[in-house]
Amino acid sequence: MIHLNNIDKYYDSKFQRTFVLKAVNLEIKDGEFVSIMGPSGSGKSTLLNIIGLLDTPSAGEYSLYDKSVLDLKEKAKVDYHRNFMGFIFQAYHLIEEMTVYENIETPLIYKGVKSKDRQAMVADLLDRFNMVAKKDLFPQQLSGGQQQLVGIARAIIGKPKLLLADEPTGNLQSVQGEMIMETLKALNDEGMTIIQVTHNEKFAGYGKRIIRLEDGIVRKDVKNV
Amino acid sequence: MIQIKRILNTILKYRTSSVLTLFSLVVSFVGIIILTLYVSFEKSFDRFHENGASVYRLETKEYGSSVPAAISDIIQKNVPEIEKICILNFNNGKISTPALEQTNSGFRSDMLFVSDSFFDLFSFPLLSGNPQTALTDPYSAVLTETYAKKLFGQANALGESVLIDNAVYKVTGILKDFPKNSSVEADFLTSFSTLTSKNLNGANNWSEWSFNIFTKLRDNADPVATADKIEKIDIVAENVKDMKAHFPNQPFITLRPLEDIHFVNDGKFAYVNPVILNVLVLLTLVLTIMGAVNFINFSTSQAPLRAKALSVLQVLGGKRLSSMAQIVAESVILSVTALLLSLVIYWLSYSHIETMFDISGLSMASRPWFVLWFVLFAVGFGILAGLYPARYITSSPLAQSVKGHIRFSGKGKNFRNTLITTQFIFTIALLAAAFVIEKQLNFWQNFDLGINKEHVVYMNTTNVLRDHSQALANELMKNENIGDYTYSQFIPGNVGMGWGREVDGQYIQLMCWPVDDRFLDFFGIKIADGRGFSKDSKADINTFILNKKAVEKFGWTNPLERQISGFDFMGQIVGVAENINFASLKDEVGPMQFWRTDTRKNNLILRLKPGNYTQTMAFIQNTANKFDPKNQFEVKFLDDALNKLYDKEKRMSRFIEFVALWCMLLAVTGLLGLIIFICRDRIKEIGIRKVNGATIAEVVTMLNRDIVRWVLVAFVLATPFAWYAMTKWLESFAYKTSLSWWIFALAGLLALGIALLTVSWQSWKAATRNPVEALRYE
Repeated sequence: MIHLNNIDKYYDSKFQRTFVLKAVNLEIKDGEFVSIMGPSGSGKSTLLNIIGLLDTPSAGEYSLYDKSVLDLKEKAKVDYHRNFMGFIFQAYHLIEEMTVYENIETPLIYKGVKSKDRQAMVADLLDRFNMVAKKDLFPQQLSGGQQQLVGIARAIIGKPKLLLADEPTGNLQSVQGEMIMETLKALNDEGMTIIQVTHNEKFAGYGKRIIRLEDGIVRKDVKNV
Repeated sequence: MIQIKRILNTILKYRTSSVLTLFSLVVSFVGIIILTLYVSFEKSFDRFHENGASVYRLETKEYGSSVPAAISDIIQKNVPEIEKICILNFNNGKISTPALEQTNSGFRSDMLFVSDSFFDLFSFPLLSGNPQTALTDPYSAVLTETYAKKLFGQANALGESVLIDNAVYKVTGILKDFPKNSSVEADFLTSFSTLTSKNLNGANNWSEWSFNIFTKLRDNADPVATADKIEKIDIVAENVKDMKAHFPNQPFITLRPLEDIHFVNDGKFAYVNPVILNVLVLLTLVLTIMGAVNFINFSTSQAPLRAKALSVLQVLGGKRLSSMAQIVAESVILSVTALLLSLVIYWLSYSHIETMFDISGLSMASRPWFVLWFVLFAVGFGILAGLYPARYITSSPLAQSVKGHIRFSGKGKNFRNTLITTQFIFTIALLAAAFVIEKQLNFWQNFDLGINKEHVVYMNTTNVLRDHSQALANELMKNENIGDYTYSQFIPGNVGMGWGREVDGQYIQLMCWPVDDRFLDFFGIKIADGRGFSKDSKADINTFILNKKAVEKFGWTNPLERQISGFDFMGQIVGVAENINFASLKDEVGPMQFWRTDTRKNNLILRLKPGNYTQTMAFIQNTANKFDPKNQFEVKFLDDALNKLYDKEKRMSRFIEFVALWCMLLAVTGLLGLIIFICRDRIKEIGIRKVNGATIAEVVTMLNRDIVRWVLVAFVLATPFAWYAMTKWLESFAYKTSLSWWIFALAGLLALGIALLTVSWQSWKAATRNPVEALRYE
């Protein structure tokens, strides 16, 4: 599915070039659950952002299903965001002025899904995450774990093939973190490809493959059995 | 000291907000300063007279302030409440000195015949001469300082002789120049006894309604009762009987306080339209509100940023009150700074504004205390405008603010939206008003006056030219670029002779227009009844042609059988002409008659063939000079003279339009500030939406949608208001344009367009930002 070839990301200042990612080669197949680990500043998030088409590499090739996705037009990029991938963030990034229901519904509106269908889809997800009673609450009225559940719900409502999670448990207590990881695992079991960035060894263990980054270079890339 | 430093630091830290605030305050204050000075100048008219409170102008329902001079003696004899009385007669004449006369030079000037009681009623200080006696003797003249210098090169001209329209007057006093805020104004005064001694200008005739009378009442005299007393004097009652019949059940004679005369238009005294003053006061208020709106919007927009810093101070032991005080102090400092900048801008620009709109009274030279008023205003403004933001910013619960989770109630945002909507209500209403004004001016410009005024020029004649009028015309007609000519006392738009006559026992009042035999054909004026003046025949001399309006108003069925008395003849009415608009279109066509005469050829009117105007006009001037080498001649376009009738309206309208644009500048700044802060506050949300599949266009639409909604609401609210106001304005004119729906649609669309342009640039910037920056976890 994902093919990264010799990806560099650097910033030029007056006298020197600072590398955030250097010669990253990565192949991720359908249905994988990849955990990216590494110390702060090792380039994990940048790598995730490049994969998520939120950032562009300075050099190298990136293709999805053998189609280059560098230099995409705005429209094509939006298309990938609408139909191909979903995002989860450490800070949940829910829209505070909107209810749980409305937050989850948002991507569907952008996808142009009809109101009736939207209602059904959101209801299904709320049901699945046991949050039906909370659908009219605002994000700040929920616990962190519940907020992240809403974040996941919003990310997967459009049935993406790829779920990108940037430290999804970073702000959570371990019990709630585990609940989130179980949820992700369940999604992966259903066939969704997941890439998560994490600091937490235990939660990284949920992944079927662990990639370790250091100073922008892939140090280790191992199957986790 | 530390406090002040902290406040200055804050102002510098929130630079965008401070600059926007300062800018809109300056825009608002400059407007307020200029409008306040102008309005207070107009309101100060005639307030400087010591006895002003007891001085009244005599008026009648029929002719306003124009009354016969003969009434004066009768009133004085019969009404004890009247202490003093003064007659005024406005005129113009050529003034020179024996020395200047040698070179045939002199000045055409505004002169004013006044009774010797003039200085008892009005406080115009004399530099030299005795105010009690200066205007007693016939042929006395009191010059203004400027004119004394103009004529004699020095102010000390007491006892010298001047020539006014070739009569010798003795200079008996020098007057300090009339203050700018005086309705009574002239270049020099001449004694009224000059007129009565020889019955000039009809000074002794009851039929000559062209004088002004001012009375000084005794203490405790009631003006209404006094006026009633005047009306009931037998001889007065007898003379006004017919006119009074037009106004049943209301007093015919009234006394108007001197302090009010500036606000009544009668053509002789300096006048300002009080409605316009009210509009300007309203606009001052609008500018204040809009300035305050921007101020409050900008400072509450800083709330999320400021609350954190201020709440830390509170946690450390500061009181909420001191945080509020700091915010108010900031706002006062900003407000006063803005005022000082505005004063500088005012100082640099006020004389240009005076010239641009042909207004006066913007100078502060004679009233420096206004600076103090403005400073006090700015301080008050700062305090009042700072209070709401101070309360709002410090209203976030402490525990959360410190953590950086600033939570403000939605109320604040709604309030801001209401404020912005208010601004757009003003903007749209003002835009619509400006369009209506333009449409009306345009309407006047293109109105069919009923005369053929294409390619027409005119020239004032002199005695010498009038003596050779036929020879001059013959000479001019030799030029193939001149098509036609006619002589008349007046040009269209400036007919200035009013007659009051008794015809078959009926008192009538009408304008009289002395013309030659070619006049009606020249202008293509159609005859409705009877015939035109016969050409090249002396037989029709001193006959009249009435306009239809006169016949209608007097209710005559047989106009052609009637005669009207002239100065020393009885004139037969030979025809009735279609109505033409011979005066300003602000007024209805009134009764008027053409008087066929060869004695009043004050204007030579010519029709040119198209093209070569400059050359032809020079030829006319040169030819006139051949006949009269001593005088200078100037040929002017009739169109220019006609347009001049609306000069005051035009300049005033431009002034209002300018203020309207000025208000719009404020609205746009307000909107710009608001959208900058909205984008700042929503940057995270925008990022989330983009990651979830929103396109740039969708984000821009989302940000702009609110603005469009406010403008629409404003449009709905502003339209009926503007409609009503402009209907009222148009009602004051006899000939008016229609209020088309598209004017309002255009105003709304323009406001919407400007609003969208203002916000789109910002929302585009926000929408195209990389969401990664906004969503990075700090």
